[in-house]
Amino acid sequence: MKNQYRFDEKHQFLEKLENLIKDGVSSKKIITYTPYPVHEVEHILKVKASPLRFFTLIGALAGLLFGFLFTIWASLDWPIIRGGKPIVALPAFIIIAFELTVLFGGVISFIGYLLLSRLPDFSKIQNPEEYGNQFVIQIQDGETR
Amino acid sequence: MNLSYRNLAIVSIVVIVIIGLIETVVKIGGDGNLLLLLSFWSALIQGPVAVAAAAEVSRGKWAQPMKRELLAFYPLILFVALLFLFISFQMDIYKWTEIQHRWLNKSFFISRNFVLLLLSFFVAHLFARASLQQKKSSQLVAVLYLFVFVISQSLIAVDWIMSLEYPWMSTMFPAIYFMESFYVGLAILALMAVVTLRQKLGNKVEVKKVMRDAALFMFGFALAWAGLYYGQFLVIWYGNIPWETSFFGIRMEYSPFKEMMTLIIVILFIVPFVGLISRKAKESIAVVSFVSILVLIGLLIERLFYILPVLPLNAFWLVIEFILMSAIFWLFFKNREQVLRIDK
Amino acid sequence: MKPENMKELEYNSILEQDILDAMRKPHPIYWLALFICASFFVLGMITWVIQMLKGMGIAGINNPVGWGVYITDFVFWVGIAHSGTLISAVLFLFRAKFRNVFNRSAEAMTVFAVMTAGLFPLIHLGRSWLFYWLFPYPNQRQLWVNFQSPLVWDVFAVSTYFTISAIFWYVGMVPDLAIIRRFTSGIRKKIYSFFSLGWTGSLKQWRHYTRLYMFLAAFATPLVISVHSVVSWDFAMSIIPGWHTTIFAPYFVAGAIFSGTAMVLTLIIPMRKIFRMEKYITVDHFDKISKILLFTSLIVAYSYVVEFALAFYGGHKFEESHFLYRLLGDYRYLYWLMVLCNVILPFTLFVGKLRRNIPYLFVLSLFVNVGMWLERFVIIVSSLAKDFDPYNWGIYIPRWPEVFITLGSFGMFFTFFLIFTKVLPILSLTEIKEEAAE
Repeated sequence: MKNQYRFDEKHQFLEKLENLIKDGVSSKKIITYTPYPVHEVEHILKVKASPLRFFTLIGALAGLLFGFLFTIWASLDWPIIRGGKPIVALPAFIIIAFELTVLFGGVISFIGYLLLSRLPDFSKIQNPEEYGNQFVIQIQDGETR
Repeated sequence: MNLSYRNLAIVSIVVIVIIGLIETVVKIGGDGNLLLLLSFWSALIQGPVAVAAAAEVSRGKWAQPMKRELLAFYPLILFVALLFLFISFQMDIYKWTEIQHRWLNKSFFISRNFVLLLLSFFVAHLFARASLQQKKSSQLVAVLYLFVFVISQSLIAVDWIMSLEYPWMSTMFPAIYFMESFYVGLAILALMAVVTLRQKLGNKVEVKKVMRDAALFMFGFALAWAGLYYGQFLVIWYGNIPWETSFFGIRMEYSPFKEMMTLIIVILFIVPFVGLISRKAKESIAVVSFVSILVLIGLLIERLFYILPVLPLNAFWLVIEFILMSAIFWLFFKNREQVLRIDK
Repeated sequence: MKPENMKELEYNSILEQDILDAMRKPHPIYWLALFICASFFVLGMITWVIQMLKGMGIAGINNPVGWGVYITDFVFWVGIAHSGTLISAVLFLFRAKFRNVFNRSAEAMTVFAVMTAGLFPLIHLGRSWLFYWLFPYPNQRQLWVNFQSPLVWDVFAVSTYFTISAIFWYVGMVPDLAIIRRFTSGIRKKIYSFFSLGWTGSLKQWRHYTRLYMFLAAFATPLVISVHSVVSWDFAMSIIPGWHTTIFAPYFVAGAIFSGTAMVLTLIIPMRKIFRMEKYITVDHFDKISKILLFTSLIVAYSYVVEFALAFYGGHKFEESHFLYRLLGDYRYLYWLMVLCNVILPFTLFVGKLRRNIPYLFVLSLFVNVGMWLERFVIIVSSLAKDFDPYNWGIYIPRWPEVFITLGSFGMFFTFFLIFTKVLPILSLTEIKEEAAE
């Protein structure tokens, strides 16, 4: 049995959501669809913080480490003296490590996002579900999260 | 201690005379005490006023609750200007006094810096009045103050500090300098918010927000400062030109300067970056006050880093002078209502 | 922006219809504009091919001026890109709501500008087919790139910048593409469905999305500073007067945001008129953007003054002579035109009425674009033309390949932007809806 409530206004939607929770409906059975992010929903359904930050942290650290290790290793692998500077020229390598921190952090965050939100959703690409500008609450049978 | 406006002025003049006497009569001179004192405290005094001006220009609600606290320091700009005059008795600290130079000659040096500090004081006064009386022109006067702030701080950087190492020069130097003053101004804003919260004055929610926003800006400035400092170092390191690397040469070869350099980077970048990155940290009085105090100490070490390799310091009198300056600073903060009374 | 008494649903529907109208079948004038821009693009490409066949000698770069218009164009286009990221990422972190009407177009501008900029190192290579040598990969010659070279730092910085900007632009568009999908049919619907990844707007999708968006904005922000700093270090890492100066990094970054903001105005003012977006992009929005223009112009002016003043401070004869050359030498007309466009004219933005005068802003933005292009040209060419050894002094005059390729780069940029306006939503629908609901 699927119950669906559609609302045109945000506050009506939030009221109904609060009432559903008060009535004892398990927050795990509720899915909401909104035209834009509504932060109150996360409070009402007591959703934990998104684990995306772990992907970001791991990506950034990976970039930082790879940036330094790779540049240092490559410089030692082909040790030429350039402009009288040391073979392992850390002030220069900082830049490369910094850029790779941002690159890896961003890309891995994006990949993490796709994994966490289960996108792309090929069934929905074939048959898109449209809710327009309405705010929708849907109560599922089984667990959704 | 609660003092009336007149008494504050009298105390200030007394302190100026005392420090002046220490510098000219009591000590033999030829050391960097006065220079260190002035370069450190001018940042702590002009910085908060600049922060207030920036908040006014951007119509930022983020500093509004603490506006009076920030503006209370502006008369100290005059204090610094008067104290600066005593440098004219100590000009042998600069090597360039022996050369004929269009820009770096004693009389032009003293007069242009004094005039700019006076101008800075005057415009700050206009700004304080326009801001407190909420005149329509307050944004314009705030912009004017920021202009004068940038120019006078840049000149302080080039004339007072950079010329110690004449003929060494770095075009980034004045930019870093006035940016540091702003950074320190933010640290003072954060500390004043902390003091206000602890004394349970003002609207708790608003002041807490001010503290959090000041911490956020400090975080950003720590990054910006690190970027600029690194940029200056990188260009000089890469070019490897002797008359440029000489600046870093002595400062990276010998202790205690080697250690100071590491300390500066840790205190002005790493600690604020790591310490203020989380939202909880920005709202924690303990973390914010710790980081802010550390930033002030970091600025002091940085000024030492510039001055100490060139000039000796007389530690005993330096401590006395610092105590006097801190006392004046605190007195102006405590009696801010009196200070701002004439601008109401 | 939303009128007080209008219901959210109605406002959202009107918003969607307005954007869809903009994406309708184009007017003949659009086709004409597209044709002109694409022609310049093709002209530039053909010229590049000719240069590859005949050699770099047909261009004007010579000894001593080995870097000329191509590098000017490179720095110019990378600079343009930075403003888009400032508007979309930095202003997001500052919670400046006025950015919401600019950011989609600004991000598009960034992506296209970086693509255009990225071509120039390849054009300048001469043997462009060997471009892959720029990247560090294990090879049979057993060598690695020079990680201490600013040119290699450029490779990393610009690649990172392009990747992150493209991801940020795309991620921001996914919910908007889902909206467009609703109103299309047939093959167009399939394409929008695919690129919107089957988006439904569920809580799971939104909560991770908002975190991702914030992290991408937080990553893009240091890129605004670092990428153009790295580009400026292409010059600052040398030792010639006019190039070897520590202030280049913040000076170039401020200049980049300055020229980019001017380009945003150049693009958005006509776009707003043509697509009838006046009720979304208001005079207040332009007022705020022009304050950014003014602020960055002041930083650039400060840098001009400090550079010039300190050249005379230290008693370095080469520095003094170089700066006099800039002001009074072969390229003096370009220098003074640059000062007019970058310092004097933007100063008028202190006047509120002028900040709110849209035709004035459009004309000013054109002058700033010219002024900033000239600034890069003056810095690059004047330092190379007259460096230390008088025997090595020379002059540089761009030749036809450089002119045509520069025109081609503008053609490329505007072609992509014109296509963007018809194929993708020019306003960030979701963010405007979110702002209207507050």
